[in-house]
Amino acid sequence: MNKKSFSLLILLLVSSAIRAKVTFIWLPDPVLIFLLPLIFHIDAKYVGPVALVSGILRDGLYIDIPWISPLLFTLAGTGAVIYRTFVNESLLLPRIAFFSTSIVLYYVAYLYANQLGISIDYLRAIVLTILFTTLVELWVRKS
Amino acid sequence: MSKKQLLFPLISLIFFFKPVKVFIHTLLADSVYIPVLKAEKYVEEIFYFHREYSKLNELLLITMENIEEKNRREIFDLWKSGLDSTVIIARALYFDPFGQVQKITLDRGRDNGVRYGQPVVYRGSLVGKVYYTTDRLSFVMTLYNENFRVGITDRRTGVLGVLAGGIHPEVLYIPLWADVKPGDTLLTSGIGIIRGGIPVGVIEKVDSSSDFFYRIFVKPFWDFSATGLFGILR
Repeated sequence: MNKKSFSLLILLLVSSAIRAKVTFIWLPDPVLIFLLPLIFHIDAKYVGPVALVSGILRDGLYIDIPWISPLLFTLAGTGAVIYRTFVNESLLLPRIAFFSTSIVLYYVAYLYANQLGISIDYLRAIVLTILFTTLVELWVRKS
Repeated sequence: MSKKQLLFPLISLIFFFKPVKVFIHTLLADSVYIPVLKAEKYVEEIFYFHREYSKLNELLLITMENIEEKNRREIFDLWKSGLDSTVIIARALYFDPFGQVQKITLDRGRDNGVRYGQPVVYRGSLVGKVYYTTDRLSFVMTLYNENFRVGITDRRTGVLGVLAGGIHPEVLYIPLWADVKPGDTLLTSGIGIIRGGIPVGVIEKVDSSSDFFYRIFVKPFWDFSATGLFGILR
């Protein structure tokens, strides 16, 4: 784990705790922005715990909502580990495709589980999340 | 892919059970969220107190300016309306010694019309008299100076005497048959160079143990613990 990955991990944990308390639906989800690039830059055996802990922190504040983030994050982590074995890791485009798919699926599952209707705010948030995730990925790749 | 990677999605399924959620929630709330909330509260408090501090400082400044303006007006009102005398407003530059002041240096001098012997008042009560002047400064001998003397009279009975300054100002030359008692107000008598009618103080204690004259201790109205604008009466 290099320095950037470590700082990404810290940012992920902090943003997960903050995201549980502060929510702006039109803004990108910081947890996804930091988590998805991170799971490609750490060892496969750490992906599961990191995804699980960040998922719990992400949903852990409110007891009444369904806690689907731990499941979805760990599934995304597992999917990334499987995905690594099929595609060329050094290419950017497959990763962006993975990010986009994961983010869209996450939002669909999240909105469905919380019985929230789709709106232009969520669409904007999805697009911004994909954009920022790609930017973070580019930042981490430079090292 | 190893089996370990599938373990975590399976573990995450247990968070759908209410007791597990409650346990995790309690754990997180106690260990992560409550400290974060406390820190947030502290930061908010710091900003709040900072704002309040700035507000109070501004208020204090305004209040001090108002008090100074009020003092200035009081002196003017008292001495310009009731008496046929004008007053020179002066600010103290130096107290000697600091504490129970015996000499005061004021920032008005001969150029402003200050002359030897003029009485100095603070909020309408006698402070002392001018004993030396320069072009720009004047020097005042206060009631607490041992060389200070002024003719006084009892406001109730009109008994005349001489106030001798000092650490405990006393009234001299009041005979034992004169009608004076503690609580009487003393004014300047007008005999001598200081004009009459200026409040000086109240009689604090009357001692009749000597043969011919009372020993009368006076508590001056002027409170040396506060300062502000002084008035020099022309």
